[in-house]
Amino acid sequence: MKPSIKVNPSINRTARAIYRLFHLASPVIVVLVGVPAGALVLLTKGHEFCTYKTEYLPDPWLFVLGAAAFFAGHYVGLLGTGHVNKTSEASVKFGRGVIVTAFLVTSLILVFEAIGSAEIAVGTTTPSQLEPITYYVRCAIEHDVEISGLVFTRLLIILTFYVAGNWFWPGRSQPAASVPSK
Amino acid sequence: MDAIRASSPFAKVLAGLLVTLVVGAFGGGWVFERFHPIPPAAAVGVRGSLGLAFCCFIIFAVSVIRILRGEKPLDLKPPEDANPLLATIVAIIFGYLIGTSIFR
Repeated sequence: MKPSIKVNPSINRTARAIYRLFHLASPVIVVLVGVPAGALVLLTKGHEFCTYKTEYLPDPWLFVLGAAAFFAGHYVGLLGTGHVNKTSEASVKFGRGVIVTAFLVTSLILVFEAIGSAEIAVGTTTPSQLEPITYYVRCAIEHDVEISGLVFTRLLIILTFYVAGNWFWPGRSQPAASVPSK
Repeated sequence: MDAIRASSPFAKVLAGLLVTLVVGAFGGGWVFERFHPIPPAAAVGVRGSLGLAFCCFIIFAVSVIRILRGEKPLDLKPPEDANPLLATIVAIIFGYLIGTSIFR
């Protein structure tokens, strides 16, 4: 089933311009929230070893929050643009480059995860040289519970997954040449 | 063999990735053990991560080869006749199951 997008004429230019601005700025907003949040953890907690409580992850509610934000990003994108996305030769090349790079980086991250999992000192309170990625996430969440009561965690999950749904799950796309200009 | 030939391109890709996952988990685990012991308590996490890493690397390598040949990268989109919402929900559930079993 192909997704059908109906052009909504009631969406005026100003609303589209505001959406467009937020769409372009949203990845930067993630960084603008994430960097101060990380700096706050660093300043208040330092590099101290974290003895996290395992119940913080996996947390189905944080997962549901991310999934909802992902869908929201997609559907806000459909409503916000109100027209077919235009693809050009350059954007197709860029998109392919991003996807290919993402898979290479993910494979390297997963090798790190494997090494970290093998290094983990099960049942001890002393840090290993490397830890699984989830260790760092659990610690960040553990610290955030004390710092902001999970506000930063929830905010970053919502923003990150919104951006993912908004940018990586676009609506219908056509080559620019086949889309009539307005 | 006929059943494999008759299956859709997406089904072939999924089957290929499943084989890659198993090869990565066991073959990659065997190579990994030459350099580092795998604690029994972390065996699923380590082998699962290596399997997924091998999957991602194969997708990267196949896509690069296809792009250099002037073709599209490996197509991981669900079939056109599939419900995109249902496909996304299935992908999220699958991701959750992998996440909670491997990345503990």
